[in-house]
Amino acid sequence: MHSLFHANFVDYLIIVIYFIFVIGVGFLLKNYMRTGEDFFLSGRSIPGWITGLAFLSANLGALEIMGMTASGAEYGMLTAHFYWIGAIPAMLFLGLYMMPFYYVSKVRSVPEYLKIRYNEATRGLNAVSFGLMTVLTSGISLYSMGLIFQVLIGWSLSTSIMVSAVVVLLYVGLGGLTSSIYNEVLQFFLIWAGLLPIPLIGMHNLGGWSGMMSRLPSSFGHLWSNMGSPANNAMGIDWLGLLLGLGFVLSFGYWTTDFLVVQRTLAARNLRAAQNTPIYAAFFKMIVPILVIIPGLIAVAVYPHIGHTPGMSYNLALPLLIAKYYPPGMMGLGLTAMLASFMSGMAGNVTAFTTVWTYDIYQAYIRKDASEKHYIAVGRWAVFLGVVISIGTAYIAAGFPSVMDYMQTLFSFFNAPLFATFLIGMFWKRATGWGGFWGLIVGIVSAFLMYMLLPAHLFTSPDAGNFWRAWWAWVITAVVTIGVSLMTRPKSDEELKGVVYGLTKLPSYKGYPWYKRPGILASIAFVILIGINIWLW
Amino acid sequence: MDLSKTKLLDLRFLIGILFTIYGVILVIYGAIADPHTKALSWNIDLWWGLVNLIIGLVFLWIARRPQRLDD
Repeated sequence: MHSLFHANFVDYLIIVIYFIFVIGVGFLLKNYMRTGEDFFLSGRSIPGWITGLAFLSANLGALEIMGMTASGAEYGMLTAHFYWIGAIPAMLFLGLYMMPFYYVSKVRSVPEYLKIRYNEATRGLNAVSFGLMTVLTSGISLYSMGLIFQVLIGWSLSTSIMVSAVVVLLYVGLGGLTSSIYNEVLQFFLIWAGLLPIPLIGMHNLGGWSGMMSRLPSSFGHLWSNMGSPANNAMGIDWLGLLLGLGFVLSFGYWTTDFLVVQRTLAARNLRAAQNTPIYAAFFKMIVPILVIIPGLIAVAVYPHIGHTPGMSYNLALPLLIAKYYPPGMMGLGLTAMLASFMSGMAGNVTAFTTVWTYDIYQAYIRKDASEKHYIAVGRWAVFLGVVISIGTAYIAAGFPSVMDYMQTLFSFFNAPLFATFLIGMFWKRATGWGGFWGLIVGIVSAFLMYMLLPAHLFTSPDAGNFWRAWWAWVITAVVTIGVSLMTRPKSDEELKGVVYGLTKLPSYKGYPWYKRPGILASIAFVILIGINIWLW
Repeated sequence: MDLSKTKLLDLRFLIGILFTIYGVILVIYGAIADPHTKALSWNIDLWWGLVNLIIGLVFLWIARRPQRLDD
């Protein structure tokens, strides 16, 4: 098959060294996996800066990098809403207000928190739906990466799927969550090493920011000034839908309740490190658009017909620039960065799946009292199983051209209602076990029904549809949870100690220097966030 | 699980090693092959390899100190 690049020996050398390196780390870590907590939660012993970078990178998969660059080429700086409004506030909220409950209650997973706060049924519902969604998304990212490598260097789809799957299987199976976290942090640095030259060279060649902007539609440089009505901007959304749907429900739903990211905070060595995890991550998240959105803008300035000519889809924005600017050697580094980001995204899915399967399904319903050794063995089998299922779902994904959008929507079915369940559960002690269960299930079902039954033309664009449906699913979940709670018997204060706001002793960090205090760090991040939004208004 | 005693599993050390290796490979390849693309007149492998090498060495240097346990 014809490919964009012709990788030579130095490129392969760089890729192979990376593979050897991550598998080697897995082998070294294997000797430290003694208890289930070691394997599934890194023994709660990782420093804050490491969990912070892992928190961010677990989400920064290849799909995200390619997809956001494509979106940057299609919509311009509007795409940055997914980073700044769509992530930072939620990350700060998780660190400041939700982390104490997750960490102090000593839960090992998100479903386990739901069991303590609500009841066994709520936990079961969440465990099964999360496990299902996770292996499905992991398969889809596996497929997309296979596709990327097929286009870039001409490997066959099966070769790239198998090679990547085996590497992930080895390092996660050997070193558990620690292995996965180490790779996520390595990936964070690799992605900068491999991709930062693209925006630097591109902007330089185009004559800086103003030179680049002069070749783009004027709306490409603004975040808010065209959001007054859906007709004025390329995304087809107004500011209210954006704030409620993306900024509130979808972003908080993902960043505060998805176990894939929450698991990284639980690996931190104390509560303060756990609180600082998403706050450190927020600072790094703010600068990621330099790597992914700016190259999208550059691609449009360099190739004005991108997205409108055959063989030049928006998805190829980043690969086209790599092919244009990188000689052999650098190309190997760029490909390694993408490979690493893909694999850590998939490893994140696999570790989260493994933990939920082992603690919330196997230990909860199949075998309650087994030895630590037994649960680690079950965990390793779950990694194997997770990877095998991912390979299967990757080939299923290959059969459906539009499965990506469909999955994104499916994902929001589960996260939007779950966020209402969590918010009410953490801050309103009157919420009852069955209130949580019925709220969650009605929310999921109604999100699904809205998607199936409401005609597409009701919304100004597919994104607008996603945002508004997420908002209403959240509202329905909240109303049902509160309604059912008022009709059922509340839990006693004793049961809710350490789980609910008002019944939990929150720590004070008065004696610490400012750069170690979550409250002060989060305030600084928030001020910078507002500054960026005003600057690019 | 206490990884702080093992140099080999200090993440700062691992990042340092990987970047040093990549830096050396890129610098040597850049110096020998002098690769170019149409869009780029200067030797990016050599210069970016040097940047990687410096980052790698900085991480190795930081990793000489033991990891602080309070943060």
